[in-house]
Amino acid sequence: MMVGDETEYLHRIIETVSADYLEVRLQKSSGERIRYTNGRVEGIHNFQVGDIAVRALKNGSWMILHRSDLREGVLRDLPSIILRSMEGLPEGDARVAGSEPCMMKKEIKGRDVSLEEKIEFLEDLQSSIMEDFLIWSSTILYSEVTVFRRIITSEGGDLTEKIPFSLFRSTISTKRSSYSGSFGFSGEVNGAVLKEGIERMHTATISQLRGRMVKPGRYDVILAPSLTGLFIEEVVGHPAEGDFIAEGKSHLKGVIGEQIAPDSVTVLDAPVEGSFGLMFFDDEGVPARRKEIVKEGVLTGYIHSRESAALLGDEPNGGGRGEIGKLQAPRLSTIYMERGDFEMDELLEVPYGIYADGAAGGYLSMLDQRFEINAQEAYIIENGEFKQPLMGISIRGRVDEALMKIDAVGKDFSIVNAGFDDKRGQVVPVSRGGPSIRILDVWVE
Amino acid sequence: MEIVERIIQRSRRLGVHTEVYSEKTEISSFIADTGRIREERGEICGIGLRVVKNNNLGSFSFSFEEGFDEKRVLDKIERFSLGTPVKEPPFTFSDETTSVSGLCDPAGLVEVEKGVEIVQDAIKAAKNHDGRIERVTCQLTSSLREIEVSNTFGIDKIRRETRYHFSITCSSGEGQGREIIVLRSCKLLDTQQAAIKAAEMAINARNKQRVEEGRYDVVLHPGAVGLIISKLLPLISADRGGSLPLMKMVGLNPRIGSTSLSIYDDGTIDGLAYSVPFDDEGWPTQPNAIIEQGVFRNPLYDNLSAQINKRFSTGNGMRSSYRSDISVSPHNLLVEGGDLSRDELYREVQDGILISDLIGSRFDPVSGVMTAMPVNSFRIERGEVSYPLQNALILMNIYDLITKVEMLSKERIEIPASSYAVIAPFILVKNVLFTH
Repeated sequence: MMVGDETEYLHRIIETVSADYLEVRLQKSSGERIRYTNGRVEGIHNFQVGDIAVRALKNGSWMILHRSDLREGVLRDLPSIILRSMEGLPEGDARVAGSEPCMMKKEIKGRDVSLEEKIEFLEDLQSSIMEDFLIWSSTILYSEVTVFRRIITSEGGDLTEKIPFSLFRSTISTKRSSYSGSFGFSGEVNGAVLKEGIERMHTATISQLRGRMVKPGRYDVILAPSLTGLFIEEVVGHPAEGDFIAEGKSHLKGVIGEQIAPDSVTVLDAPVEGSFGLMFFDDEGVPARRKEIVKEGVLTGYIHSRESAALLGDEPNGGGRGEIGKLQAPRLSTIYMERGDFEMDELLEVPYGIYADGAAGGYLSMLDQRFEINAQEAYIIENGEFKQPLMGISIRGRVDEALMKIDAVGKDFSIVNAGFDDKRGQVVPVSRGGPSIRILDVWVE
Repeated sequence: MEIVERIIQRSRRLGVHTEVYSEKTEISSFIADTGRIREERGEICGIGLRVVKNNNLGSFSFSFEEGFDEKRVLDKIERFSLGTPVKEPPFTFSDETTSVSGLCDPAGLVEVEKGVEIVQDAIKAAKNHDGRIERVTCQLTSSLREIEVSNTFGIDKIRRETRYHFSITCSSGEGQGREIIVLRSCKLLDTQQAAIKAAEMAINARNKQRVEEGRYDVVLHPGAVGLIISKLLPLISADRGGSLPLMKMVGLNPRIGSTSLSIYDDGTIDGLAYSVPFDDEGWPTQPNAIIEQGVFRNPLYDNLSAQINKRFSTGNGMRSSYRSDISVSPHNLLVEGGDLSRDELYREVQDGILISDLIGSRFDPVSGVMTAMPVNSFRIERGEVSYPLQNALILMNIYDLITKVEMLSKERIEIPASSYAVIAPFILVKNVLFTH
């Protein structure tokens, strides 16, 4: 076997293991993580790791085998281990929807930057923050990883991609509070956007020193792009995931073709070049595609894995994702709302409302159809003007009502907000964003 | 492993200090949903390496692939030039280990037939216990892990450990109940009992009523205490000169909690799922008093944070796998109990709420403000637990809260977190804000 070429063994698994559906996933990641705190390197971790996972469906039951050892002897033994394990599984009712076999090879070139240059870059990003005597501490966690993925399926698909990703997580603390933001990219890092984002965080952190607690109540709220992304992720993205539809947990079950938002709202999950959630195919070997979830306010589709598509009689649409060695599920990748017509000053035209930025996590309770999104930065808006800064706020409501309350969609647009989405204990990289939007009469506290 | 030895020998010849963490983890999971079952079987192996060259510390992870040999690793070591500045290699020099029994069950991984039987029987037990249970999901994961820590100071320690993780979730209408057990020994798993408890929880959580907004006295179940304690981890772990200034605050006033509050970390207790004879840097584990009667005594240290703070490690340098770097992590966080039975604690509450668990929390580690959604909460009326409550939102300041802890139950429950356990009592906290 040639070093780094596992092709022969991947095909041998497909040929040897008899199953109703079979796929082999190979993944290799290399890169480094730098923790840069208060002007000094606090940790550098360099990694070069590889994994292989085989997923077999036989008689309605799944068997998944995972190894982080890609040596010849290990690869050679995989078929016999899978066959032996499959024998012990009872019959089940799992099934998958087929997909046209696809051959694909994609590569995005990464930048060739030395470690010294990366550290200089971090120093530059942090320098103005550290000069500010009001700042207690500033940390940037910088991860850069090149991910090679290959998936071969029993349908005849063979897909490979190689993409460099970068993620910057910045935390700035004063004696009163801390503020965190995540910025993610595929391919080249957009240094200007990143620098502007971190400088904005700095300004916001300082303004939060004068922040007051918001008086809980209903407000008209203007969300910045990072929060728009988080909002649509919770109220329409996750509820549109096919497994929640099939299980009957989502309020979006059975309402395809119905108006669920104003005409100005179009929501998509799509492979967007430059975004942290970029993938050319999902973790089941189905090409990624532009998935329209809401078009001009009407629910038009769901996010599907092969399994959820089979359960609902749909086609898989490239949304089957999961950690290697685990069962894939319908997941988001880059979710965003399309931009609208409103200028920022028009969005701010409310007699008394709140402007919010700084996505700090959200939560969706499928059981009682409620969502919550958190903002680290907020201001009272009076007659279109920024007034009193507020301490972090939570925006809450019912998922089935929230979208209808959007009354204005901005012209601006950003999808640099990035992170890892956790579903059933598995995390996958995602990006989210869109324009700034205005939502009327939502609960804020 | 031979490769570990070779890396150490070559490092010595190159004149660099090296620590090699080698891991081999076999995992077998059986996951059953109503009507279907799957097996996930994995073997994770690789090397986590730390190198000190010219007073710079670097960290590396490698998995194995064809053509892998120590040359690739040594090339990295030779070319390594930029890392974290350190005065000395932050590696273990003590060849002691703590005696911890019951680390490895000779039964090893649960085989496929047995695993299928266990999860299917648990689902049956839950459904048979109460016909109103509509859906049951169940997972049994067994793991067998071998860790070797070796370094150029002559340390070479090996530990083998098993862990059995069983979880079951039952649903009935809007009611949901969940039980999780994590043990070192397979034969101690009482999956039937866990299934019945989860089923009862789901049934009891049906027909939720709305709670009025306002301030309530709250009894925190150990599950909720566990989540709150997890937010305190940055406070009780040593600072690497890092992002949070909390250690500075603690240094000014070590009294951070009420006199009823004592928290220890102890990775030496026999039989507990997160006890180990030495941490992932090879340092022996030990009992540590973190907060005693409200006074902050000792943070948890790994070797690097200990060096920076001119202390010794407390045996809390852990890795989630060879792919991650060392970080400070507890083993078993023990919150000392009080004198009251659980019922006596409830009797102290005329009009309050029992919070079983918290989710969706937002926490500002500087101000201490936390918002979270209580799940499986119950109204307490005139000292007795009554009806279940719809989800609401609580707002609290954790740093204030720990100064107000007054009454704790004698009974304590072990709550497994992702890489450690919290063993905590029920705690009564007054005047917590509930909103919608």
